Amino acid sequence: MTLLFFSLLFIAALQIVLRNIFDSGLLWGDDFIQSVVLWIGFVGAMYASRNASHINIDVISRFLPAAFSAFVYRAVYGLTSIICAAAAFFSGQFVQLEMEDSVNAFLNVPIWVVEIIIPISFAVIGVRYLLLMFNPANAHHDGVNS
Amino acid sequence: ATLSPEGSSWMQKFRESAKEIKARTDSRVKIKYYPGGVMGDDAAVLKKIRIRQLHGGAMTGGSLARFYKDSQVYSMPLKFDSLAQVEHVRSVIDPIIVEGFEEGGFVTFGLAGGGFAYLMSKEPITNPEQMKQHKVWTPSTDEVSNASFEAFDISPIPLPIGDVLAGLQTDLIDTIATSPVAAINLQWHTQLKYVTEVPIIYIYAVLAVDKKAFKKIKAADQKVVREVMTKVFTQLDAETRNDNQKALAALEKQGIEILKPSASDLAMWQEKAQLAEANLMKSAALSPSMIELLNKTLSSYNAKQSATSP
Amino acid sequence: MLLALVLSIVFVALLGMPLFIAILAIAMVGFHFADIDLMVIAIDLYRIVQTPLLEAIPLFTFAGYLLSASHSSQRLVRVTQALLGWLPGGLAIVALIACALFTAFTGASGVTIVALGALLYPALKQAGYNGRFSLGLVTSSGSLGLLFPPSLPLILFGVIALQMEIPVAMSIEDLLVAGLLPGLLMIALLALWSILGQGGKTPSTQPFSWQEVSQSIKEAKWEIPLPLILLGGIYSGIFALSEAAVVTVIYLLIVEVWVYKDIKLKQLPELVSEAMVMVGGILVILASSLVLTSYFIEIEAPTALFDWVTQHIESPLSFLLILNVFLLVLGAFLDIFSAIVIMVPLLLPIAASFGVHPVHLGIIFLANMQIGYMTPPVGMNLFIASYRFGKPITEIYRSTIGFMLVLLLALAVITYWPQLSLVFVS
Ligand code: NA
Ligand code: NA
Repeated sequence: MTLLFFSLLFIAALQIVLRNIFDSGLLWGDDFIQSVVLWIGFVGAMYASRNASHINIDVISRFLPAAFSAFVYRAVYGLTSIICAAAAFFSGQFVQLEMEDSVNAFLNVPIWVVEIIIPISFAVIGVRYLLLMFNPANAHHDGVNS
Repeated sequence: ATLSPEGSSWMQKFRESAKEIKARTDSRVKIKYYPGGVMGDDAAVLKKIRIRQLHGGAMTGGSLARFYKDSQVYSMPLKFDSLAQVEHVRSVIDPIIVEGFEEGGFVTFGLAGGGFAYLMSKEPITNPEQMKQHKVWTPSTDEVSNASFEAFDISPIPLPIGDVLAGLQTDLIDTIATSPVAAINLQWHTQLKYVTEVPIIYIYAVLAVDKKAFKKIKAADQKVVREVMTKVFTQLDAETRNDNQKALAALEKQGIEILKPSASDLAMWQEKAQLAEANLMKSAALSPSMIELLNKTLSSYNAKQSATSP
Repeated sequence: MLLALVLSIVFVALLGMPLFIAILAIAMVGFHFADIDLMVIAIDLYRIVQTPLLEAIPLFTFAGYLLSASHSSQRLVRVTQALLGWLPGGLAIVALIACALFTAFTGASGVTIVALGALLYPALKQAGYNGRFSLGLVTSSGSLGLLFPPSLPLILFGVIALQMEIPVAMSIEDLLVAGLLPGLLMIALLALWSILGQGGKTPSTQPFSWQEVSQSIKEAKWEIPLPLILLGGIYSGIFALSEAAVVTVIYLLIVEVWVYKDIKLKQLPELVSEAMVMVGGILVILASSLVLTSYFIEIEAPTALFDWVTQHIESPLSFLLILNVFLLVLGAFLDIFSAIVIMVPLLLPIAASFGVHPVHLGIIFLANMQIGYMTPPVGMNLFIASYRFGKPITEIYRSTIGFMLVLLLALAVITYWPQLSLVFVS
């Protein structure tokens, strides 16, 4: 995570210096930045799933009695896990299709290498929510996302 | 899918053609257009064609280069100096490009010319040496444009199309090469002061339909679609030519100065273009036989012209 | 069948399913029924990389985390106190201004209430302000400042609007300037209310002293230039917004880590992770809403909605009224980032057809969202304040009512007086 963020910061800063002082720039710089932000997004989403701190709108369960809401949360985590599995499957299928293609995202990095974070992330999030279904104590759901 | 906005003459023509095709094939072929880039940029559209969500898309020739690399032959810098010349060359090479796309997996219905891209800038540029001191925008980082930029000794600044206006406002870039119509449609002209009247490259667009999807419809219906869409593209081709002339005049009216380089400046441009051509040959971004064909067609046209003119 | 499935997903979302998963699920079900290969989700999720100024989101978020983790909130309060504390009602005004500035940089993540509220709430009570008033003030100030640059929601609105086909030219810079006057109006009205609402006995907290002014400024001398560099740079066109984000992060890293030494170098990885988890949460919602939007377009829903609204609502005035009511409710239930990414693509064309300038729409949208943060029963600031100050939620409700009415008045002015937002927009 730290590596991703600081490589983004470094290349973005380098671009500014090159553009403003040397009137040039890295041709691949912006494509690289875009790819890194995609990775930050999906890796960050994986981190957030550790304790189910994804942004959500639990307006109903918030007002349910504790014993009942524990059950509801297990069900919700189970469903989340199923949808993640489906998303991982279909996006994985697409990445496989992309491997046949020769387009590069930046420099010599093929586009599927960048895209592969999408199925990986969904798979990991799916597993995390499956675990949370069996052990919801690890989740924090106070509705405050700070 | 197409990047042309709803209400533009492109979309009007497309919608009319969809009606005609539907009527003439007894509703067996229905075409749905998604305007204004709502399906994403050309890259996203091509992906959606691959998973068969879409069957085709209207896009610029460059986006399809990886299916037929010689389709970028008109992107060789400074090859043409008049539209008449282009017309002659296109009558020879367009059919080859259409054939090439077909082999690459796309059915097209002729090319709609987008006119020349001119250099437009905030400060006057008449010779290629001046260009080195400027921040030049490039829309893409494909091999053909890279080879040209290399020849001109420029390291261009790539930005997505949506960021160009802001880039001009903040002086991130100060020089672009584009067609007058695009400059006006995208409001870029509000940030520019000069147009250099050197036709850099020639731009065109096609409607590319996935060949596998196309072959699925009845042979008779295929013929109808080809006939109607070819008619549409012939009309669009003629129309955009006039549009570009009008747009150039409109730019001048709005106080943008049109710069005509001197003969010695022109020679310098040509010299750099030769270098670009050598680069292209070397990098195999275009096939040598295609470059040769273009040159041969051009010189035979030029010879005929000088023979007939007094 | 499709409708039943979609409704059940919405229900599960209200039970607490991660929002981005719920959005994606609706899109997947829809695509399935439209007979489209579900591989499409990967294509549309990936389209997020084409979002203009995308890198500004992680960069500004991290900048906000740097500010929150340092002692900049204390330094900020000390400077504003020294400058304004001598005024009758001065501390209340200090609280408003400090919160607005802090929120502009840190976003409406609840940080303002947690970091600044903890400083200001006891200070207000100690200075003789009524307890309930103090509570209401810090709670409602928690989202004040959303309209000031470089507030992330403001940038996000611009980013999304720029992806769309809009009939008028606009830039994100336009949007950033447009928020200034409406934001100042909100502060001014709240300040007036703070003075009047105290029934004439609004204490001044400290006598004016040049010494304190110069000392507090000296203490905060490395942070004071930041808004000036940033805003000056953007408005004068010295740097683009994406460059401003880079400059802000590097400047703050140097100042907080090496000059003030508030943050230790080895704390950085942890801080980056925290910030990027927040960014991830926003980006995946943004990405999955691209998938949902793509489904809406596949079934041509925007056109249908557009036709329906233009047929049933006649005047721009009634459109704006309905828009306000709708957004206030939405703002109470949905977090600001989700609200923006889901609603803006649908609202923008409709608003344009009623002649509402996209920049004005952006300001109306955010003003509504800001009030939504404190709208009972579920506004997020209410919960954060209840948690932070250990007060029952009902007491928080009562304390914020007055402030909310004042903000609604400001909202009415902002909505029906477009010039306030558009005066600097060409
Ligand atoms: Na906040
Ligand atoms: Na930049």
